[in-house]
Amino acid sequence: MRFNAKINGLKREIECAPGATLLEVLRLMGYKSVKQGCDREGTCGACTVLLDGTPILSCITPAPRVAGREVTTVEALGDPSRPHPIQAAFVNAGAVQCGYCTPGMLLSTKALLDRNKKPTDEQIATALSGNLCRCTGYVKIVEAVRNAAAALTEEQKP
Amino acid sequence: MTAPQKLNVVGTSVAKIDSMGMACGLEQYVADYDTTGALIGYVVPSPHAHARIKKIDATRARAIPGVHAVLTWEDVPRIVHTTAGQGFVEPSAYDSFVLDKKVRFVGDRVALVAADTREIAEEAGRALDIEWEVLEPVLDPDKAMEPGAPVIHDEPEAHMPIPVPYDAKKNMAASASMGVGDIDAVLKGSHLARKQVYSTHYAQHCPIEPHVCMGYLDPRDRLTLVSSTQVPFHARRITAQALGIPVKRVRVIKPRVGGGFGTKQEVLLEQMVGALVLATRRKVLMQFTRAEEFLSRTRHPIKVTIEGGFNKDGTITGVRMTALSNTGAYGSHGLTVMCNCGSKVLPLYRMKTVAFDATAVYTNLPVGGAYRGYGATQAAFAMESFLDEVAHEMGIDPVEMRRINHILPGEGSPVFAALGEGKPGVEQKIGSSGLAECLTQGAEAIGWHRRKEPKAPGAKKRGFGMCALMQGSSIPDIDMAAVSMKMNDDGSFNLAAGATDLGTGSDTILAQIAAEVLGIETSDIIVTSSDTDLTPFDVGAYASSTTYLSGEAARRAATTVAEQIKKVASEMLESHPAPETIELRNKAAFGPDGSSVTLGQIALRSLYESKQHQISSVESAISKKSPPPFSAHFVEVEVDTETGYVKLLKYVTMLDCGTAINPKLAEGQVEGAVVNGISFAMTEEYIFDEKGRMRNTGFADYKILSTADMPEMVTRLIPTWEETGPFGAKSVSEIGINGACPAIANAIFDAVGVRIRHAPFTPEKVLAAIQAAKQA
Amino acid sequence: MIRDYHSPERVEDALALLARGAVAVGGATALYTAKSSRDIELVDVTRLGLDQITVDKDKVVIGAGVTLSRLGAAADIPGMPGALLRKAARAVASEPLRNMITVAGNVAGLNYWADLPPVLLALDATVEVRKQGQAPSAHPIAACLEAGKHPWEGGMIAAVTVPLTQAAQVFGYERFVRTVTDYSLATACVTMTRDGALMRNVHLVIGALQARPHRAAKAEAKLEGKAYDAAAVDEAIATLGDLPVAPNFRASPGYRRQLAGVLSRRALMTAYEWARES
Repeated sequence: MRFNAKINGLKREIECAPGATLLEVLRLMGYKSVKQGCDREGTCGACTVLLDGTPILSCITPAPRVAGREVTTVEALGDPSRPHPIQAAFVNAGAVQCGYCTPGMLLSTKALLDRNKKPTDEQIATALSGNLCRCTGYVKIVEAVRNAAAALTEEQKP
Repeated sequence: MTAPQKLNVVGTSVAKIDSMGMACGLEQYVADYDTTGALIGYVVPSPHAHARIKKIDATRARAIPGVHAVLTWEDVPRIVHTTAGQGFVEPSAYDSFVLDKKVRFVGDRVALVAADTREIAEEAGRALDIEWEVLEPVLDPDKAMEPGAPVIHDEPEAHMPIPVPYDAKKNMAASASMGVGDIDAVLKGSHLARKQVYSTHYAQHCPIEPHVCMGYLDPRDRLTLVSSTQVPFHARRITAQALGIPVKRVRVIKPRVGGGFGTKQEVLLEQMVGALVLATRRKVLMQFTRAEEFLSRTRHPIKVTIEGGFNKDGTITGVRMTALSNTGAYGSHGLTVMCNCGSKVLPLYRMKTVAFDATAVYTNLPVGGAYRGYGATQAAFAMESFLDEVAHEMGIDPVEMRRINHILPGEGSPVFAALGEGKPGVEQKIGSSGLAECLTQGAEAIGWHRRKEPKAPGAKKRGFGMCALMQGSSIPDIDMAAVSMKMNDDGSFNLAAGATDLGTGSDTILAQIAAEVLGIETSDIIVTSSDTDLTPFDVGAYASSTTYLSGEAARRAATTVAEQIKKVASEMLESHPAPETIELRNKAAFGPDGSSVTLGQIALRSLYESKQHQISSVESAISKKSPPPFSAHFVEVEVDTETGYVKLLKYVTMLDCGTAINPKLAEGQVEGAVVNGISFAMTEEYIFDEKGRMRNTGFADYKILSTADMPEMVTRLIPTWEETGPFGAKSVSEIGINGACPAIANAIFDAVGVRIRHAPFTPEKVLAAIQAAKQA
Repeated sequence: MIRDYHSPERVEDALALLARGAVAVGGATALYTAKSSRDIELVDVTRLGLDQITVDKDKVVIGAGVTLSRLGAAADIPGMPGALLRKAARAVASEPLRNMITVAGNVAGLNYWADLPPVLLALDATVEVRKQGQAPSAHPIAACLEAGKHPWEGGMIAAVTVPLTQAAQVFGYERFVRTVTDYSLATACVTMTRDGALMRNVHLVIGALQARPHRAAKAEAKLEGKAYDAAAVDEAIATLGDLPVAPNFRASPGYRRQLAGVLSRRALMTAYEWARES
C-alpha cells in the first residue's frame, strides 16, 4: 500500500504491507525512538506515539490508518541542544533510568499537558497508566510531569 | 578512606549522562543498530514440559523460501556449560547445551532458525518433523527428589564444576549447609521457640526491553555480538566456550540496555545467535517476544522454613533456616541464590548459634536465574514475617523487636565467615550502619503510633506493617572490576569501564567519582562502557557491586592519573612544589602558594611539549568485604474484608547506602526496587496449567504496577560513611526489592489478624484466609 | 494475513466491502492478538463520520466510532445514563487504549470482560446495524448479547442508542480488578427508577462471570416495586449464590461468584445512597 502522512511535521510517502503496524513502519523509516515491549497487544506503552495529538499505541495501529493524518514521535520534541521543557524536566528529575519507556512517557505527558496545563497527581497517573516502567517506580516520573507543567506555564507567561 | 571535609561532585545529583539522549530518542539499544539485511533468529519452543527428541528432521523446514538456517542438536557442538553469567569457574551446574536432544520445560529450545522474517521462522518451526518421546514431568518441587521421580538431567555430562553437593540422578541441582553452635540444643533451651514455613513464587523481571542480541562476522571473521547484557565479559567467555571457539574470536558490545534486574545476567541469546551467525555467515537479530521473555529466566520460587529461639526479653538465641529452591529445568544460579537466603538475611540479627540448610531441585518448569534481591527477597519474607509473628506473640512492638536484635557497627556475624557462595564466606565486621536511624525515621514517617488506634467499622480495615533489611555490596574475594582512564588535549578524560550500565546510571556515578578525585566536572569525563575489545574487564552488573567495586576502580584509576598530572604540574609551576602538595580543583593544579596551571595546559605539555607521554591508567579493584546497606520499610494498607483486595495507602522506605554518590539516582534505584517488590508481593504470579505450561505470558494477565496503582511513596536516604567504599559508598540497587513481601504481609496481619505465609497476596488468597479465620 | 486495508469515507462503500466478507476494524486493539490464519481484508470504519454523540430529548445516539476517551468525557450526555457511561468508560484499561477502543468494537468484540456491554444492558440500549441494501435496523442490546446472535454480521454497528427519560433514575456501578489497567474479574451494574420510596424498573447486570453479561432476573424480582431496605437487598443477593461462572485462569469460579455478590450489594447501596440524596 502507498499513502501519505505527516510525520513530525514532514509530509512523507509511506509504502507498506496492508497488515503492517505503525510501529514497524516508523522504525523502518528511522524513527527508532518508538520501541517495542510487548507482543502487539498494546500493554506496555513503549510504542506510544501521537496521532493528531492523541496518544495511541503504534504496535496495534495498522499503518494505513494514519493516511492523511499527523504522527508525532519524540524525535519531534527537541534535541539535546534545544530540548523540549518536558524532556528537560524528565532529565532533571532523574525520571530517566534505562530510557526504554521514556519516549512513550514523554508523548503521553505532552498530550496531557497540551490539554491540561495544571494536572493533578491523579490526572497525571491516569494519563500515564498505559506506559509501563520497571526502573523508576514512577515517583520521579510523576514529579517530572509536575515540573514540566510548571515550566510550560512559566514559559507562556508574557 | 576517611571522610573528606567537602565533596564537590560526589553527593550531587548531576543529570544521568545518557538521559538527555534517551529523552530525545537518540540513544541506541540493540534493535536500534543497523539491522539492514539482518536475518531474524528464532528459537523453536518445546510444547512439552519433559520429552526426548527421538528423531528430528528439518528437511521440510529448510526448504521453505526465506529460511536460511535450521539448526537442531545434531548441528551444533555438544559442549556442556551453564548459562549463568557468573565469574569463572561459575558456581552453577553445567547442565546446558546450545541445543539438546531433550527438552525440560514448556518453551525449552528445540531448534534454532534464521529466516528473513519472524513469520517465516515460525513457519519453519512448525515444519519440523519431530518424533517425541514424551516423559512424565516433575512439576512439584516438593516431590522432585522423591525416589522414582523422573530424572530431568539424565545426560552424562551434567555436573557441578565446583566441589559442592550435586546429584542430577536425584534432581538435586545443589545443596549447601553451615552451622555454628548446637542449634537444636539452643532451641530446646530457649524461653520460646517457634517454627514456620513461608514461600515465594515465580516472577519475571519484566525489563521493558526483552532480551535482544544481534551478531555478525566482522571483516576479520570475528563474531561480534551487540547484546543487551549485564555481563559482557562473561558473555564473551561463555559464548566462546559453548560454541567451541577461542575467546579472541568473540567481541561483545553492550549498548544502552532497556532494563535487566538480573535476567540479563544470563548468557542466553549470545550462543544461539553465534551459532546462527556461524551457520549463515549473515547478520542475525534475535529478540525475545514478551511471551518468550517470561520463559527466559525467573525468580527462583523458594520455600523457607525458619526455626527460631528467643529469650524472655525478645533477644534471639538462635535460628535455623532451611530453604528448598525450585531452580526449574536448569541449575542456573541455583546454588548461589539459595546461599544468599542465608548470607544476606541471617547476619542482620545478632545470634551466636545458627544453622542453614538449603537444597535446589530441578523441575520441568521455567528456569530460575539472577533477580534483583537474589535469594534475600525470598528469605527476608520468611525471616521478617517470622519475627513479626513472634513479636506479636510475645507482646513486643515489631520495631522494638528489630532494635533489640539487629547487628550494630563493630559487630560481626558467624554467618559472614561460614556461608559464601558454594564455599565459606569472608569474615567481616559491620563498618557502617544507619539501620537504627532508618527504624526511627521510618516509624515517624508512617505514623507507627496510629497502629494502636481502634479499627474503623465497615468492610475495610487499615493496618501497619514493617520490616528491616540488609543486602551486600559485591561478592567478597570473588568480584573484580577495572577502569582505565586517559587524558585528552583539553584536560578532559576518557573513562572506559567494563562495568555495565543497564539503566542504573553507573556510567554517571563512575564519572562523578573520577571527577571528584580530579577536581573537575562530571561533563569533563567521557565514559565508554562496555565493549570487550575496548574496555577493561569487569564482572558486570550484579551482586550490588558496581558502585562499591567498579566505583572503587574508578577512584583508583583517577587517583593514578592525578598523580601523573601532579608530576607534570610540579614541573610546570614556577616553585616546583612536591607533587604530593599539589591540589587538583576547578580543572587546574594548584601549588601550595596558590599558583596554578590548568589541566588543559598540563595535557598539552604532556602530549606535545616535554617528556611526552600519555597520562593514563588502568586500575583494578577486588572486594575484601561486602558491606551491607541497611533499610527499614513501613507500610499502611487497607484490606477489603469482602473482596480480599489489599490497597496500599502509604509506603515508606528508609535506606542507608553509605554515601549516595548521586542522591537522585540512588533514590530512583530504591523507588524502582520498592515498586517492583510491591508488584511481586501483590499481583505478579505465574499461572501454570496441569501440563506445566504458563498461561499468562503477557502484560494483559501478568500484571505489573502502573502509575495508576501507586501508593503514596516516601523514600529517604540515611547517610553513613563506609570506610571501604569509594567516598563512603555502599550498594543501593537490590535491597529495596526485599521489603514489600514481609512489610505488607505484616500489615495485613495488623489489619485483619490473618497471616499470609505464601506470597503473592492476591485478593482471592487474602479473602480465603480471612474467611478461613472466621470459620476457625 | 491481512490481505488488504480499506479506509472508506462513505458508509455505503464500507457496507459494500463488508457485504463481500471484509472485516470491520474500529480501534484495532485486538486486531493483532487475534491469531487468524485466514486471509482477511479490513475495512477501517473510523473515517465514516460515525464518531458523533447526539443527544435528543428521549435518547442519546453514540456513534460506533466514539472512543472510550471521548465517551468518558462526554459531559453532554445528561442524567443517570451520562454519569454511568462516563464512569464505566473511564475505568476501562489504560489511557492510550481508551483513546483507541471504540464503542462498537467494545460491543462487537464480545470479550467476556468487556466493560461497556454490561452497562449498555443495564441502560436498555439498542444497537443500530447497517447492512448493504437493507434499511437500518435496531436491535435491543439484550438480544445482541445472546449466544450466537450477532446482528451486525455481514454489516456493521453504526451506533448505540441509550434511552433518556425524565424519571428519577439512579445507578450503582462496581468493577473488580487486581490493578487499575486489569481486565474485570467481575462487574455489577444496577440501574433503577425511583418511584417515591419504591424501586422500579430494577436492572442488575453481572458482567465478566460468563461469556456475556446477563441480568440477574431472580435478584431483580426480589427488588422490583419494593421499598429499599436491608432485608430486600439481602433477599436479592441471596439469589446470586448459584450464578453460573465460566472458568478461566484469572481467578477461581467460586471467588468470582463471591465477588459478584459483594459488588452487587455495593452497587445497590450506591444506587440507594444516590436515590436518598437526590
